[in-house]
Amino acid sequence: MSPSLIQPNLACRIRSLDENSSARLAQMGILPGVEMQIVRTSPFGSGTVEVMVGGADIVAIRSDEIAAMDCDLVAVPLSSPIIEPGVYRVASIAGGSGLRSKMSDLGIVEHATIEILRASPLHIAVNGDEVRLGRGEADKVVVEAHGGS
Amino acid sequence: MADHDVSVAIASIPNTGKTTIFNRLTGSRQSVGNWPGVSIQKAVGHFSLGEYDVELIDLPGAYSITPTSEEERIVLDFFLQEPPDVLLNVLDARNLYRGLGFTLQMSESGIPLVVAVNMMDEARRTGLDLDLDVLSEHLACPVVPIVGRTGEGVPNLKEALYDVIKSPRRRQPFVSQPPVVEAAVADLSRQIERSNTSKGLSEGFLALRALEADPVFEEHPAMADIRAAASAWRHKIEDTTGSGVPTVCAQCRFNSARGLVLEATHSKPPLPDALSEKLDRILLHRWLGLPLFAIIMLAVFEGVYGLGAPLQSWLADVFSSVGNGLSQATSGLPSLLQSFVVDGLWQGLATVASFFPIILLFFLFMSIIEDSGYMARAAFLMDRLMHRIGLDGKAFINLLLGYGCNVPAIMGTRVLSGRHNRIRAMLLIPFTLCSARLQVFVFLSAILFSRSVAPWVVLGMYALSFLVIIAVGLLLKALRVAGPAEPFIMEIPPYRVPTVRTVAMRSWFELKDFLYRAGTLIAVGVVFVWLLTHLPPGVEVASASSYAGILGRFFEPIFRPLGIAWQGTVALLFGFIAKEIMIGAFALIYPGDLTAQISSHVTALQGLSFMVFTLMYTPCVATLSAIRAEARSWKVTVGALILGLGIAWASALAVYQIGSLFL
Repeated sequence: MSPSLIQPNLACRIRSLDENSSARLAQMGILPGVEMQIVRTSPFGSGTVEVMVGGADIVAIRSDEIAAMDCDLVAVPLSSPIIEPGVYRVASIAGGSGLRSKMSDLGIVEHATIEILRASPLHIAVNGDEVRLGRGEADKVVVEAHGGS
Repeated sequence: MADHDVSVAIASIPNTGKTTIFNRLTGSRQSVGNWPGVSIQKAVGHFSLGEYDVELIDLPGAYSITPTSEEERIVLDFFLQEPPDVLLNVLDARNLYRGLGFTLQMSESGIPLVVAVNMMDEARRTGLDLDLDVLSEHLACPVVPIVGRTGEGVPNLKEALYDVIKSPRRRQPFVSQPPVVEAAVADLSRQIERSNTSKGLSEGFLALRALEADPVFEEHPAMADIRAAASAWRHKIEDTTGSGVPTVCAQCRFNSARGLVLEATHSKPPLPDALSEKLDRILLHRWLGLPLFAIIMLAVFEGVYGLGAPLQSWLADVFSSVGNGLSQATSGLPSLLQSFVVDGLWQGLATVASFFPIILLFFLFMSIIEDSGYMARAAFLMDRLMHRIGLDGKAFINLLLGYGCNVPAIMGTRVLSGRHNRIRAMLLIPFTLCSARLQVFVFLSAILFSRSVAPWVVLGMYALSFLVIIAVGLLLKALRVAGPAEPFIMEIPPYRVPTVRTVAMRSWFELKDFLYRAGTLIAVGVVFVWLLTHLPPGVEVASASSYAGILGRFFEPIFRPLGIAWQGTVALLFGFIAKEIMIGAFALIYPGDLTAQISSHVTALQGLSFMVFTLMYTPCVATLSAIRAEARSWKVTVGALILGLGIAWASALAVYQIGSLFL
């Protein structure tokens, strides 16, 4: 996976592991088919990353390790560099109740379909209305990925 | 009827509360040693179970028998070389999936197994409802719910162990594997069966070990014969499946594990622990995380040394008043012998004892940090920074606490993962400016520098200490000392409240351990320095004609370029016992008005060079003993000594020579 994609709220499914560097991961049950979600990145430049594995528990891992994996993207936040104009389905809103209700007022709720008009700055169309989202909001609105990494 | 001896090994993945259960079962009947040739602690305990006398061996935390870390290699060796009669596996109720991979591997071994599912209380609290009978049925072994922290379920666990010891069952669970793996295991099993050397382990288990890794075979007698066959199968499996045997087998085990978890889970809380999630939002916050970490570390530092220092000085008073009594009681003896008893032997004991309060407090706080789950968070926060100097995040705490005292910081390296991290941390910790060195710097800078300059000199020493640690860290990294780093993967466990019992027991065992392992060496070191400074008989203590003085003058050519006279060298020799003793040593070396003597004999620049040397040169005898005890290697111990001396000499030389150009 490209290191530039590593950011909180990104979710991906492991396709294959690097045999040498990931021997340890394999023995911990972090194997092809398992879904990982990036929870947060460390201070001092995001060299170390917290990931939720299989929706159950959290491990800290270096981002080189993730970059060496072959992954299928499952969900990406709208601020991800991979986001291009097009139609997406909202996977989740990774924020508190304040953000959720604000997004909900705009019509951005789970499973809603939105259209990205411009990726940066972010212009989207929801239910026919054009909306602009700030960077902080775009970090937390997560959409289903179109596949590939 | 005589007691029957049974060996039970307790094994699990890290963070399942294995040690708590070990302590619950054995109480205080345990001894601590090391696994052969490595720096990893081996605890063995005893308890009786009906007519059986059980020896319980605490295996290091490992994710599998397939070795990817030093701990796992130990577990593998143990299985192959001295398979126990019964295995006790511990699972964390909140994360069965991760633990079951190892459980399945253990149950393949053919050794009768008992599984304890720990932390049932926390699982219940979060709403997790597990059906352990399903697990028991599939794993073909007893599965007992327990709460290690409170002892709930421990009697049931003992009962289950008793039953298995009495009537061992050797049924194995079924783990489906690709046909090529099955064929390989069947073929190799037949060959192993023919050679009849499986030592009670199942042939299939040995066959899998043979397939996974080559070098294993030299360590098991039967296996040399099937090496070639195993290697051929290995290549075939790699060609067929497209990945290595360890990964293929892990995939099979974890597929089974996933199915088992699905079956055994009646209802499941939605996400990882909600409380942990909330706490982490604050404690690991991008901007708040580090300041909070700094505050917590400050509190720990103050807790260990703020509470420890008064206790230490109280203990020192007790020892010195007993020492006074001792010197009166021995006044009939020849003065040299009397001095040997009081200043040599007794001083040695006092030095060992002086570490008790801080070691106790250090491990008290370390256990709290570790058991609460904050250690993993701290490691996460600092990992990026520490990675640059070739360590992982956890080592930061050791280095930081080294600024109080190196000895507990070195002992604390045992919580680090991987020999690589442990050895490198042990080599770096001696460059931290411990409180003993601080005393020397405050003392000397007050004499040699004006009141406005002196604090800056001390501060400069701190800065120098940071710089040296970074430089030496980079050097060790570039030289690949202690091998390349193991990949950093660390579980972030949910927060939990540590129990008084666990914390207290841990601190107590660590203290005992220090006494056994490092105590003697420290005392010997102190006596050795006494011999150097008091002999040959009749000399003035530490004078030019004592062995220490002779040594000091002998080495003068080496120290002259640093601006250190032979008197300084003798003081450094004393500093080997404990750096703060140097102040007392100056009093011996420069009799009379100490301040006037020092300021007339030593220039400011010479003093500075001396301080730089003191900061970095050989760790004190207690630190070296701790390194020896932790690393289990004279090579590392001598390495620490030479590294310190070499860097101290070069740095002091640079300070003195460059300084001389300007002054």
